[in-house]
Amino acid sequence: MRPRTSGAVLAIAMALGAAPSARAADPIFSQGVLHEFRIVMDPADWASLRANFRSNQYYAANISVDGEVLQQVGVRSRGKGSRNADKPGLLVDTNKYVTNQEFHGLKKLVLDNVVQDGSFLHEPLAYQVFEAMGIASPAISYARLTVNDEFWGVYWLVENIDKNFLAARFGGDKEGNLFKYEYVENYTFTDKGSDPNSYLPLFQPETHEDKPDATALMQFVQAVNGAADGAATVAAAAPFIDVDKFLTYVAVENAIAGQDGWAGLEGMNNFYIYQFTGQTKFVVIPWDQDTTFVSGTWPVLQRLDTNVLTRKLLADPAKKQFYLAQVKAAAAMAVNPGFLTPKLEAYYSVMRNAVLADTKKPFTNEQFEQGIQGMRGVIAARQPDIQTQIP
Amino acid sequence: MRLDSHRLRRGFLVFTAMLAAAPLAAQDKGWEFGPGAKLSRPSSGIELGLTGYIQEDFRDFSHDYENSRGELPELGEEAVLRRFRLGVDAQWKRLAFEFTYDLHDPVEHLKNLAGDVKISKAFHIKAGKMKLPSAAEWLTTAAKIDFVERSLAVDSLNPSRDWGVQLGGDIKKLTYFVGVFRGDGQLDESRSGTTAAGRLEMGIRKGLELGVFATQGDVHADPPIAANPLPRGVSFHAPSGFRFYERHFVDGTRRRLGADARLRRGPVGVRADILQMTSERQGQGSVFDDLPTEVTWGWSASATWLVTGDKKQRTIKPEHPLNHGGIGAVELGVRYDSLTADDDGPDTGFEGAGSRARNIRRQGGEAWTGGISWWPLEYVRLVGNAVVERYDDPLLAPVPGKKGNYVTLLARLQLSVP
Repeated sequence: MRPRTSGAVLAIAMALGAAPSARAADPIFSQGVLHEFRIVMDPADWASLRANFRSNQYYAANISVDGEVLQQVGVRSRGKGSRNADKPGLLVDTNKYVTNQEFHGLKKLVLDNVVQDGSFLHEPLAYQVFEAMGIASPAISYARLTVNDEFWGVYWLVENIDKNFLAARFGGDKEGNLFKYEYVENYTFTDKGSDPNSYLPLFQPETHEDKPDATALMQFVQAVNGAADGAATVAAAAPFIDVDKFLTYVAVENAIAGQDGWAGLEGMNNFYIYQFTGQTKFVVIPWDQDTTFVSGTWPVLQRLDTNVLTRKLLADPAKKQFYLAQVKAAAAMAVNPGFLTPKLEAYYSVMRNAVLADTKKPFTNEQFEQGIQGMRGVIAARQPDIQTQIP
Repeated sequence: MRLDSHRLRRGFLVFTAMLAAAPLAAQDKGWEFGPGAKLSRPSSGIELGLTGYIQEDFRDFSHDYENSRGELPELGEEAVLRRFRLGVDAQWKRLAFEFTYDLHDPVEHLKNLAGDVKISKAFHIKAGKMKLPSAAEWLTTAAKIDFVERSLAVDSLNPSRDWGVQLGGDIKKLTYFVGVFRGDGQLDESRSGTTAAGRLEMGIRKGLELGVFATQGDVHADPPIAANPLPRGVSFHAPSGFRFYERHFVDGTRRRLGADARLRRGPVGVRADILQMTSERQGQGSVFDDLPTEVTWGWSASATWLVTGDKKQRTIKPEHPLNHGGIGAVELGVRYDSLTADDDGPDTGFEGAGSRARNIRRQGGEAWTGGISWWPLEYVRLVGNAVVERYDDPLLAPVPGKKGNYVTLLARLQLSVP
């Protein structure tokens, strides 16, 4: 059934503001409505997917999103720490069985099961901040999932990071090397030697999978590790990354109190990194931002000394000044009640009833409501906290 | 692999050396050279024959394929060395021997290696690696089939070569072959275990032959705990190279039943084939439950006409070849092909295209082929085919939503050992 548009929806749409990118303007990523995502598949296949949720085995299914049908897609379990049998995270591959099939220009759809965020708010709000600060981020919306007509809860429908994403965000540039960071160890951008392949377990190729080339990535890491701290590192990193853009990325992570990002609690995590076509230059793309907004008070330099790249860049006084300015700018532009609260309330309005009815979520309804209330508090506290630290 | 590879160059050298050595050997007392690349010593009953051929194929696709080729990995190169076979046939009294090697095939170099003992006309024993007794078109060498590709059903469902023992012989108008083999295709991903196969042919009247055949064996699935179990079912490929039915997980009895008819009358040839294959799927459901048996079947009918009036026979020999002032032999042909996959369970529940689908989403394809062959000389053949493919399920067609017509043009240059 196609969701109906109402006056409330229009108000929500106004609260959410203009779409931050072309892809986010797509109707399936509209944040003003709760999307209806239906999956029809062999019940035995669904049982098997849940029983073997650690496996990446695909199963054939028909789907419909807001009434728009797509047949014979591949569906599999997805996620890392969020893999779950009771409420599986799902990856939908429109091309698995049908050649050239796409859905709104997408070949893969991510259904995030939201089992690590009791408020259901962290990731959508985080991406809003990244986009406001000019960092290309995946589009995201709320969806109500049914499998064979049984309600499986509220999911985030997240734009997959792939060639379509790259082309839409980077002026058609999509033939470069895209890597997804996979957490396998507590890695902090240390030199892993001059064999590019030694980086591939951590940086898994998402393009050119048959012939992955991590040479520039290896050179990037080695250049940074081989340079003296400060200005020398800035110069060494410059051929590989837009240093100011990267520092803005990290500034956003600390502005939104993210604990599992570039300088995360257990090392680096939750990002893609893309090497532009025919260049050595990389750009970082945020992913899986459900462990953000963890506290109203959060050190703006949290753990940046634990990561080789951030520590060595920030040893340059000018870059440290720039970084702090970007944290402050993030607070002024986006990490404040004026920007985030209307969005929070709009999301809450869109999803609340469905989340309360979601019996698959690993939280009670009280915890959900407390989570919402907690987020209101975090948002209210972040800007003053940042202003206190950076007068 | 292209013509400039070391292996192919070595092959040419060996081939040339063997051809050159044969007449020299024939100069020795008692040996005779010819006809063709045959060497014999009538006094002792020894016969040696060099066999072989080389095929270079060219392929062009319709615009629909061109537009989507980047996403169609099964579509191969537009010009490709297809086969480069060399072999020896030998005979001494009641013993016969065959050896065929492909210098180009990246997977299976050794094609045939078998010895045959003729106890009587009605009873031969053959052992080694050989084609399993099956469809007549498959038992016809690729150098002598009517079109560039064999029919869809024979190409996709027929067993191929394996090691085994085969009995055969002629009893009045009947010819029989029956054997036991280690599998139904030594290097096929879908290989079964021990397989029994048999074929019965009957000459009804001059020029008309009927054949029936059957195979049965057990196919074993990879254990479910394997990290990446491979489905052992069959897949379907169209002449364009597009794969329109993917392998399914199968386990249990695999059975084939088929029949064919061939009529040769003057310059005209007519043939028809029908073939069905069933594969059980015991314990192959997504929760290790038994699934309905996979059923695949196909048929084809074709007609050819040698417009130059030459006689239609297994080996076309132009009556007026180019080197004798003629134009050689020219043959026109047309073929219809159909191939379908489904399961034998009730058509209820979710129809899936996945490899463990309980209710297999029925998929089929058909092809019309028009062809022309020209033999300017007995050992040179040029073939041109135009194939129009259509798919039953528009969703699973090369361009989703478009059932057909997908046009593929095929051409072949073939040189054979005279």
